[in-house]
Amino acid sequence: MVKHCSAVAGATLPAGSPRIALVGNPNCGKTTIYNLLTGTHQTVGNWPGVTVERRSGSARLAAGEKVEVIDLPGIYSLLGGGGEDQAVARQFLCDEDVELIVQVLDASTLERHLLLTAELIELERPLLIILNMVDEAQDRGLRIEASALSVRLGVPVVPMVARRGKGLGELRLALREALRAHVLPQRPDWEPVVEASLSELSTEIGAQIGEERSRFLAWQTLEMPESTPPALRAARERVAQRLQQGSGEDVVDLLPAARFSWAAALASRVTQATGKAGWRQRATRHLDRWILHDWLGVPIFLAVLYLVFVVSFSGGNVFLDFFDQTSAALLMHGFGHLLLQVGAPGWLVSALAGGIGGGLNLVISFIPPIGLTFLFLAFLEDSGYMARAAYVMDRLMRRVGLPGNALVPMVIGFGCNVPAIMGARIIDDPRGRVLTVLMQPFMSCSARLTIYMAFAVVFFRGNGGQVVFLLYLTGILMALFTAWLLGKTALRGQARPFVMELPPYRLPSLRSVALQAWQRLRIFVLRVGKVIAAIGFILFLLPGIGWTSQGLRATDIDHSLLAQGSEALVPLFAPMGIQRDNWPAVAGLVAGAAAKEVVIGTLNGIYQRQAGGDLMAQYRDPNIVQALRDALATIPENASKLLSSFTDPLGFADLNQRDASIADSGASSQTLGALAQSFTPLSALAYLLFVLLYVPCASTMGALRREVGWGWMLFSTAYGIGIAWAVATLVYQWGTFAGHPRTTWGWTAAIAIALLLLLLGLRQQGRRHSRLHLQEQG
Amino acid sequence: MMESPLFRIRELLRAGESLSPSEIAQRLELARDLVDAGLQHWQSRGELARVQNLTQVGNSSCANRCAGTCSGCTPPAPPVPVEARYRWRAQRAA
Repeated sequence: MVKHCSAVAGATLPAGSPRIALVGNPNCGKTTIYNLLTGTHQTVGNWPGVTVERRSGSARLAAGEKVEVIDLPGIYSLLGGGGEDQAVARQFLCDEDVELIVQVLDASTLERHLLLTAELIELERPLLIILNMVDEAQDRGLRIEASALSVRLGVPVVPMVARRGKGLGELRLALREALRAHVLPQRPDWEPVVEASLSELSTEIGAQIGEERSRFLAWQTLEMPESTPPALRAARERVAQRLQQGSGEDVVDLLPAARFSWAAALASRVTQATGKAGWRQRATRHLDRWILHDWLGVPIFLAVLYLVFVVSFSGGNVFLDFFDQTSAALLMHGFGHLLLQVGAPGWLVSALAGGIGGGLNLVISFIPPIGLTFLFLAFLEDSGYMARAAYVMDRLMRRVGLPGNALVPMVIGFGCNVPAIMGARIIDDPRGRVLTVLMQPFMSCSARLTIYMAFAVVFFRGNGGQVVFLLYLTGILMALFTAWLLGKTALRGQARPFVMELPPYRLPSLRSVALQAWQRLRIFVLRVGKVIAAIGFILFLLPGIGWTSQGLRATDIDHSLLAQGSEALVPLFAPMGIQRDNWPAVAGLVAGAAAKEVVIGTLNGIYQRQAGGDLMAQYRDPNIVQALRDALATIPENASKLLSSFTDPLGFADLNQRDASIADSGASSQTLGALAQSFTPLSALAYLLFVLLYVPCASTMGALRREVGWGWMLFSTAYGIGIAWAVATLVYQWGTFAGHPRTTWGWTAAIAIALLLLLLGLRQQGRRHSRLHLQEQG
Repeated sequence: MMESPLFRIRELLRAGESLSPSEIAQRLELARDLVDAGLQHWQSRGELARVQNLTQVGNSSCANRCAGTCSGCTPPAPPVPVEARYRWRAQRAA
């Protein structure tokens, strides 16, 4: 650690928790340092824009010494620019008091980060610098003299490799000392004319409005004339004119130019070139030749995504039956048997073992493929590949009227649509942000993955990975189509260009990848498992009530209100292949509008209840040891089938063969078996497409309303349901064309007319919007 | 002040060429990340236009256009990544 201020070792901090704010450019490692200090596991990623909201946590610097650490979204400048995420950081730094600002610098791109340092210094608050990623700087053949940097800035500088936890002890010590010493940074030696102008204006600001941070306000006033208070306009004009007279340059360019000069000069003084670039630089150069290629970039991205899902599903398949049969033996049969042994009544045994146990069994079965998917996605994110994916998608995105960084929220959407919608805050253009938000509901979140997996296991066992990949791809294409459609009609305009930065490739640490995958898997199992188990329990517990000839009476579930209501809606879904006796599928869709995990929860609850009698026999006489042995035997058996999924890429040959799918599925759980009886592979595919495209969940719609308002939220809901129905119907109708050609043509024509009407309505809306915009401007 | 990297980037682009960030960094002997920051500044000021990338692909020596897969030809060089290029807007107007 490089000390600047005099330290009194062992001195304790004042009472109460002081606040420190972590600030820095996007993707410099702030959240990694936040996680190290606070012991939390917030999501990190090797791309800019992972953090869009501020968050705070408690960190212990020494025994009995706690501080509150605030992690802010990445920011390039305190003086404007960037999306709403950067506005959050800017507002916090300018308006709120913290005891210490900690700026994280990426040592491998020092010059750029020093531009922000120049602005932070002018805030005239205690500052500490973390020189992160010194290993990457070394790899570039650069050595940063931390002590020289510390002397020139007048603040402590702590070199770190946060990803590996190197320098954490030194950082804790430096934080303690900085909080105690309260040393302000040294102001740069600006050119005399700049310094004189800033001093004059800050004195005026101090005299007129008595602002505490008058020096920073002087910068802000000169560089952002639109934010100048009326009382200061004359003074600003006078100072700006004097500055401009000498150079002939606009003051809005002059002051940033001064910071560029300072940053470049300082960086050259504290940086030593140590020789040739290291392996990381060389690897980055070689890999980027292919990965960023104009024509190959997108196919490579799709191939990577394809491999992720195929390998995850195929690899997960090896263990899927083991997890399924083991959890069924223990949580359903064993648990049911135990309950019967202690004399629990039959209805309670059914509700607990069938409802809750059956729900947990369903979720646990999917841990292998879903866990592998999360592992691969975490690897890609950490490696720096996802930032490349955004780069290569830039051209495609611009074609639909979006900047390339719109891909960042889309990738986040693979986990959950809610943070993805919030992630659209990184886009500074309001039109681009609305478009990006409206794309997110089509991204396949992890809750939808449960439904895909359940159906894939039953209907597409040999090539489930390919089917899941196709669903993900359909989601991406539908998102792009939506942006294109709206960008050409209701939200006409051009994407604002942006300069994209690419982080270097990093070999992801096993710990970091495993931790991120585990975090997601844990959340998935807890959240999805809780919902599915609760719904299973409720559907078992609630007595079936239905309309009978004598009015409302207790009935079995097949004649309950739930069944009657769902059956009434079945005709709406009949064109996409849902038959009258498959009313649980409709019940699942209706309930699934609240949350996607509810779809499988509802199906599970209904199917388990329908099979209640059969299960009771298994609870009475289970053979758990044999079931566990059988479960273990499935691992080598499935491993031997692994190769077939690679040799038969899409395998849609038997789409309408229900019996074959039941035989192939090996679906042992009651729910999976019932699924196999209720759908054909084609109607299952249509159902999955509907699940993919219709309303994602109540939380997502709530986030959508918060970010873009009620109007767009309602549009998104109606549009999503309509598109889902149209796509599912077209797939089913054309898949069964030979059986009813006229009906197929009829539905196709109806959908084409509806799409045309939508197009006309959106164009009309776009014209109205343009007129209003012109009136506002004129 | 005119020696500031920010103005040097502008002057280079004002000369009329479309340049990529790496080319600018090389010609001005500046750090690439500082060039990115400079380009972002001028882009936010509406002075820059982005020019569509073109990728240069090396040709194979094979007359059959096999792209280097047959034994009788030298394989093509790997594609050269060409970054986004930027042009000064005023130049286009002129």
